[in-house]
Amino acid sequence: MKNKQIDFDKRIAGLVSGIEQPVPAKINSRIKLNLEQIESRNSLNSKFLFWLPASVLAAAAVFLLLISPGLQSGVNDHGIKEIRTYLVLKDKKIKILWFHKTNFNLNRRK
Amino acid sequence: MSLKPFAPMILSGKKITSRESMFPLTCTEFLNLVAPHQHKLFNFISKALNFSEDADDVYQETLLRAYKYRKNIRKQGSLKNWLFTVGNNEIRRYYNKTKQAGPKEFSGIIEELAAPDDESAKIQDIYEVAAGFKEKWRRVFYLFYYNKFTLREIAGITGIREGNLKFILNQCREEIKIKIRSEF
Repeated sequence: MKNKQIDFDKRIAGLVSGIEQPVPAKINSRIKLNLEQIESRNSLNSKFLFWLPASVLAAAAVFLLLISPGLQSGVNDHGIKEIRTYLVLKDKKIKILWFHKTNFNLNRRK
Repeated sequence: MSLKPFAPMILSGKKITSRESMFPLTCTEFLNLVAPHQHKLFNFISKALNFSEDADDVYQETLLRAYKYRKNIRKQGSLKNWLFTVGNNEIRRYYNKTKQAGPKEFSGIIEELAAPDDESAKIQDIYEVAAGFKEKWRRVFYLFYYNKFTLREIAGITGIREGNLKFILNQCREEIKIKIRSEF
C-alpha cells in the first residue's frame, strides 16, 4: 500500500516537473536595477545618518553658547545664595525680599 | 526550542560561519547568493499562480523583499527555505489583494512548454486538476511535488502543521485519482 503511494507520488512529481520556464531575462535585469537603486538609496541614507549626530551635537553646542547666558537670572549674578522670605505690600504693589548673599561677611563689625 | 546549527555558506570565496552576520550584503552578492534557487523559485510562483502573467511581479516582489530583510538570512537554517518562505508569503499577499481564486485558462502555455509526446496530455491534466485546488492547497502541492520539500520543511515555510499538510496532500491525491482515473 505504502509502495503504491510512493510510486504514485513519484509519478505526480515527474509530471509536475515536466514543465519548467526559464526566468525571463527582462525580469532579472529589472530586479537588478531595482536592487541597485535600493542600495544607492541606503548608502545615501547611511552617509546622512553618519553626519546627523555630529550636526546635532554642533547645533546643541551653538544653542548652549547663545541661549544659556540668557537663561541665567540676574539675581544669581549678584551673589545671592537663597531667598529666605518675602513680604508683599499689595496696595502699593511692592514686594520686599530677604535674601542670603554668598559674599555676606558675618564678621563685618570686627 | 533548540536552534539548529547553521550550515556554513560560501559567499564570494569567503566562508560564512553561523556566528557571522551576512548583513550587509551588496546587491550583487545577494543576487549571487540566491542565483542557484531563482529558477525553482520562479517556477514555484508561476505554478502556484496558475501560470499567470502576474507571476513576474510576484517573483520580483519576492526578491526585493528578500533583499530588504536579508539580515534575517543568518537566522534561517537554509537560505533556500527562507527564500521560499518569502515567496510563499508573497503569493498569499497577492491572493489576498486580488481575491483571485478560480482556475485560469492556461492550456496554451502548457502546450507551448511541454515536449510534444504522450506525457504532455497527462501533464496538462495534472495542472488542470491543480488549478482547481484551493490556493493554499496548491502551494502545498507544488512545494511537495515540484520543489520536493519534506513535510517538516513545508511546515516551516507555510506555517501549516504537519498533520494538516498530510491531510491536504491526501485530499490532493484523492482529487487527482478521481479526475484522472485512466492513468492512476
